[in-house]
Amino acid sequence: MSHFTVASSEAAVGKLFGGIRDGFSVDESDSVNMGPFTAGYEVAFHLEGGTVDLQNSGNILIKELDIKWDKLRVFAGIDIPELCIGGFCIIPSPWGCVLRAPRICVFDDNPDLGIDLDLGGLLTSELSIAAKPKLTYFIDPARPVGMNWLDAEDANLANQWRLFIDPDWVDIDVFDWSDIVGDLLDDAINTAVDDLLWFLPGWAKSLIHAILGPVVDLVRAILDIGDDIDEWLSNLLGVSLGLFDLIITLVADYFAGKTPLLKIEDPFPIMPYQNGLIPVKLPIEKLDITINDKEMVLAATLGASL
Amino acid sequence: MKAQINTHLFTQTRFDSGALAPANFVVHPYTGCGRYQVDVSRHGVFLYSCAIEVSEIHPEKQISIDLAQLDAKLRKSGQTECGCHPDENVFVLAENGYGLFYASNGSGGYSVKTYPVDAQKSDRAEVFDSTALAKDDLFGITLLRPGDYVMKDAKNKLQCKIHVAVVKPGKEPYRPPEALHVDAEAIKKAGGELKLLQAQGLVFRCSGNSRIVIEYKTPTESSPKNAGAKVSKAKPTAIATWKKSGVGR
Repeated sequence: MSHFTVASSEAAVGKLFGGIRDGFSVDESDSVNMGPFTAGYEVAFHLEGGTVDLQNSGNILIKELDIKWDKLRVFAGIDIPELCIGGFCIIPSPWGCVLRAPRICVFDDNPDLGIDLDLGGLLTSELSIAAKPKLTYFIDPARPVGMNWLDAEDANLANQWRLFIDPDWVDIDVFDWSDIVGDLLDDAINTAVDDLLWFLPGWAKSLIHAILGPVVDLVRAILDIGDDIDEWLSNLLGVSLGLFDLIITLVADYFAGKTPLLKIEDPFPIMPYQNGLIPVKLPIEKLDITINDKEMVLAATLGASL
Repeated sequence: MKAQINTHLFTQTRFDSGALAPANFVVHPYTGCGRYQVDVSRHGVFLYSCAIEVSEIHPEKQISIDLAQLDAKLRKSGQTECGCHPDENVFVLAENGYGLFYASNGSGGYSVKTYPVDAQKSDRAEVFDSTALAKDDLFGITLLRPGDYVMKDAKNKLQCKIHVAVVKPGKEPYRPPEALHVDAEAIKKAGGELKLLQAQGLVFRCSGNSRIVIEYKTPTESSPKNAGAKVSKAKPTAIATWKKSGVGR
């Protein structure tokens, strides 16, 4: 039988969750060579919202946890095809061209075209988490062996019971890319080409555009973007670059082992230092947790000695 | 890698068979076997010599010698000769093959003379001189800038207008039409005016002692803006899920 019982309502658990949720943020970048092009991302995000639903099964369900993108840059680098003039046949023959004009290339080599998409604020996405409570006992690694509980308290190295929410699963839902993503991509492509050719007169740019063909189509073909740019972006970020898996892993790790929902000092302080007397503390030998759809209940069994 | 654009392609307004630059070239047919000395000059100043060996045993019907590239290579190595060692770097060509001389980059100004090596210096037979093209030599050019040009062969009192029409970016990549082949007779028949599209080749067959100069005169049509393709709107949704092993939902 337990000696102490503490119950938290669903709302209280929600507030506890809000506290640890606000401490989570990510700033990551990565890139990958995909053969015809390279692609990468720079992202920073934090979490907002989320509803906590305690269930009779003992699970904690967190829904509608919004990913707020502080930065979402996607970039792709491609080599635009060789662009040469001349090379025409001067003297043809039934057996082929006897004499051919030299090919003179506009670029010394295949140039890079860097496409930079700033998608911050254009992606609506959220997380769902189903977790079980997990209690662990924490002994600060800095605490010397043999240090008594009183000295540990003085050194702020007291042991702790820690309650984590340990995800069974984490879903990331990419609900929607803004309608303007397609236009943004086209603008980014045209800007990249203009940047490449900025010093050329208008007629020369126009000729290069004519020889290349519709450059947006060309770049879209190289990047293998079909009709559905949302799908392409989601696949690029989620599958090719593994961003969504990274987010899930970071979120799961954060809640499961890095940031506890609750910390309970052991021995548990009852009375602080007072009038020259040492503090009064109760050792928690055992801590149990149960969850039903109304509340989360912690039951502590006291130990015989500190 | 940043793009290195051959800017001279877009800035030239004067094209001269005696001062080769990017986008133009000269061709000479080599009918006699033997070794030919190739003297290359730039703006009238001798730069270096090369050799061409013409023989019935060589299969190559065409050699294309990039005068600018050789110039850069030799300047880097500090040499003034190339291809003259009996066993290395001699340009070889079949009998009745064609020697094509051009400059792939830089501001140009190259001229070339070739003559048989075994000819006496006093009566050196200059079989080919790009500043005075002989009969059946060819001068070729690819004009990029739209507008009107004037082509002159002062030595033969030949003059004609060349109109280069604008090419508008379209739905398909532009491929220039076949090169236009002309000689003095064809120019007369055309009423002294040739019509080309941007980047379409022009090949002029010389009648003898020719030095062809083409000069840009005036722009004509304005260049259109490139219109980007529209993107169709797409739907959601991508979902990624991580699940602890052995856990159901």
